[in-house]
Amino acid sequence: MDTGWYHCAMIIAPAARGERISLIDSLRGFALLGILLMNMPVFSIPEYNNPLVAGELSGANYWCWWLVDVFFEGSMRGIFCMLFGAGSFLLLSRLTLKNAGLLPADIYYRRIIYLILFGLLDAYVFLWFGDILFLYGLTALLFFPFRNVKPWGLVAFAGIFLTLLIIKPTLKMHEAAKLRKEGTKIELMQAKNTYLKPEQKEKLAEWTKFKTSINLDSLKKEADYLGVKFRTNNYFAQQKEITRWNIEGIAGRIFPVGILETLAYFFIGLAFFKWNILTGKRSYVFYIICGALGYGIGVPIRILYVNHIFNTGMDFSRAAEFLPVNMYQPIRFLITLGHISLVIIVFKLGWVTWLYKALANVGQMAFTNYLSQSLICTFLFFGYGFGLYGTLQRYQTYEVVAAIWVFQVIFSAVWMRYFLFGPLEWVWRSLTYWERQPLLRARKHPVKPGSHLPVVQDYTPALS
Amino acid sequence: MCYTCAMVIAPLARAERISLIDSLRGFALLGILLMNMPFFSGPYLLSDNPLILQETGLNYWCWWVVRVFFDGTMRGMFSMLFGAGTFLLISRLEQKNSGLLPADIYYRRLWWLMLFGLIDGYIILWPGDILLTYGITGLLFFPFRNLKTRGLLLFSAVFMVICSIQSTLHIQDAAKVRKEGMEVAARKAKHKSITPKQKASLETWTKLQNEQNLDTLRKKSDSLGVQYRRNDYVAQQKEISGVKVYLETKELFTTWIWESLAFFLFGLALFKAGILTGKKSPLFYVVMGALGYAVGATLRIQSTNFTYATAFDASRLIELEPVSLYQVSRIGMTLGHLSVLVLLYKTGVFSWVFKALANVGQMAFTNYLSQSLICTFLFFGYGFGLFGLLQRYQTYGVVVAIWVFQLIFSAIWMRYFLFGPLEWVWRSLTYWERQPILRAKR
Repeated sequence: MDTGWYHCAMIIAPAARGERISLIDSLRGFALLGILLMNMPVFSIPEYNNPLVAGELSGANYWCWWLVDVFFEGSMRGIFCMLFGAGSFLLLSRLTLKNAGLLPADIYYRRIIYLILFGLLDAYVFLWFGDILFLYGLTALLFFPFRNVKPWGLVAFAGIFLTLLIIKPTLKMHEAAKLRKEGTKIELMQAKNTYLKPEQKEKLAEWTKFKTSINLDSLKKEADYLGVKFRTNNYFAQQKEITRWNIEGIAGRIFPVGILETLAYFFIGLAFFKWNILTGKRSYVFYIICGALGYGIGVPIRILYVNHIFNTGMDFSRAAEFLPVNMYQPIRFLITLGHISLVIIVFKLGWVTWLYKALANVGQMAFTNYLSQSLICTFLFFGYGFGLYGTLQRYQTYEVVAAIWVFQVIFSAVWMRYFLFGPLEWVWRSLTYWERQPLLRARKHPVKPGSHLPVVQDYTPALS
Repeated sequence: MCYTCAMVIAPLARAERISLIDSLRGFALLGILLMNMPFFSGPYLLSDNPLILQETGLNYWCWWVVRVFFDGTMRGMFSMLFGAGTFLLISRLEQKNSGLLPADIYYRRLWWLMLFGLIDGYIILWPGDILLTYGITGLLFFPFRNLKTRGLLLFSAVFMVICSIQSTLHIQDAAKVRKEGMEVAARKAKHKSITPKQKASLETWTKLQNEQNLDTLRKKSDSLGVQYRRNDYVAQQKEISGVKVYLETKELFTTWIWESLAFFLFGLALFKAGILTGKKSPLFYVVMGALGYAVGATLRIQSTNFTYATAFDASRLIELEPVSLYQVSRIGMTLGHLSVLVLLYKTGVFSWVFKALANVGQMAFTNYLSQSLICTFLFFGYGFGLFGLLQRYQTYGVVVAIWVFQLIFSAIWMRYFLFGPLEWVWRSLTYWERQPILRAKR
């Protein structure tokens, strides 16, 4: 049984360019650039999602925060995950057509192990504490045996996971509301010098602690302190600090929430792919309905919620006053659906094809572009680089976003003109197949019609 | 789609099993309880530190023998057998099925294993559950299975080095805290001025000392004992969930996965080399055993006595081991045990013992989960509430009782059934179809 898997690499080829579906690449490029809208404040501003800390009550800073929170929070990540699920399925289908036995699974899992390693590199060497590659890698390990499930089954599983993710914050929200109610009551008793039982004293302490955690003065102090630290830390000090953040992130974010959420969106993405939604094959009416439902329900509720929470001073214990159920996940899904529909409708109309081509280039080297966003931003903001952390205003950080977008669009266009894969995609592939992969594009790359397998454009759910 | 294919694929039949491997698994499974028992039966702080309750005599020797001879080795052997067993499973499935089906079955199995691990941790409330760790490690193990022996050993070594580097850093960090703290304390004693940075080091050092202070630890253990005896199921569930979320995130990702993967790979290497299946000559096992014990026991006895003599002061470990040799000693002892067991097996004298152990090993999954169930019910407040009430040697009386029970139960069960009860559930879930369980009468 000692067939070293590396020897088999000779007979298996990575996906050739001709097989790529352009709309999916464009969508991926769109999501990849869009993700920077949410990540930028995390890279650059202490207390990134609370505009009150820096007193951003109106003007450009306020509106930047508002627009991003209403229209983009969670939805770019959503699209990116959906495409990852669909992409994994495509990869495995292609590999299965070309190779016998377990080889496709081996290639898939080797790829994932390298992805996990790249994720560790992103988080612990590039010091991007919001890294998603590690999370996607872990989730992809779990995804494999679901790839052949029928679309409705996938949606059912996703529904279960998302329901769990609605229940958890809903309970938390009500716990916080209860704490507020009891806490204020005990405060009144204290003001009247009523005797407090020990458990009431405990409750009061808990309530005071919660109030401090949203108190603007203490948040400002914390932000200032963090700002100074991140600006002055050398690489090693920063590495130590971020390592701590990363490990806390595993405990607080990736393990209890991230994996379930990501898996749910992998499933939704695959279901949408199998239903031919992501490939743009459905009718205009279909996309118009999806878009109208998505935006029509999602945006108004999100606007009301964002305004509500802003007006309460970002006080989570008053979130339940808006609606008794935590709406983050449902709203996020609806807005994601809206974005996808809009992008596809414009694609089908054939408008701004140059833009879609540009986004497709970005999407084809999404892995390179994601990692370079980390590298650029940490170097720009952390102390061992330019040390701009906490010195730019929110609207200015979005100028940086625009600059990075322009750079990535141009760089991707130039690179994809001469090469078959993005630089890090090439490294990733070469590592996976444990063999140097071709990189240079032949002049006028000849794509013979019908020479590539499979004809993915004609994908029908029957394959599942 | 996958589920309909289950018809054409059969779970491995009993005859295909390799009996020595089952016996080894049974031995490791029973052995694991030696280390787990103190964690079930009393506050975790006491489990590896007999000084807190000033344990002497029989209690001291129970601690000493378990720490020197068994700590980490049973888990090691269990992991090695898991690696080898996984390879066997996939190879068998590959012979019977084409395409990706073997990988699908393998990964479905792991999904269920992880769910069982979550049940073990969050419902049965065993904070030391190993099933979830094995499940996650199994996800990563798959693409390594066809490596040659050498490649497996290489990767195994890399992962063990990663674990050892982390432990080494802990040892050095603690030593640094001590050194800096004592320097500042000396300055302060001479009434020299100290900088804020020096003040911070002094505080860290004082904090470490307090954490390791035997009185503090005793008080903490006492209150933990009262709490665990008093808690009803809901309160205890909340308590253990808190502990588990910490363990299963920080510890799982920084240590356990690497460690398990290292031993999965090591076990597979030994399997491919014919060592785990008893194919080598008796002389080979004599030499391996002698070397293993020589290295392992020497390191273990030294470190156990040193730790005891320094009152479990983490900041002084560096005086004995500037580099962590835990994994080295662990491999040595594990190979020692393995050699003795294989040699005994080869003599054929104790075949009834090996048969009994093989029964336990064939239903290892059932037996592991029932250890959790029995012990949490025995010790936690919602059951018999014996938590923290038994002396160390008495808890080993409980261990022996559980061993006897599991040996007898497994022997009877395997006489009438093809699989252990939970093995049968696991299989049926994996193939999504009720599996046969009754043994045909001869």
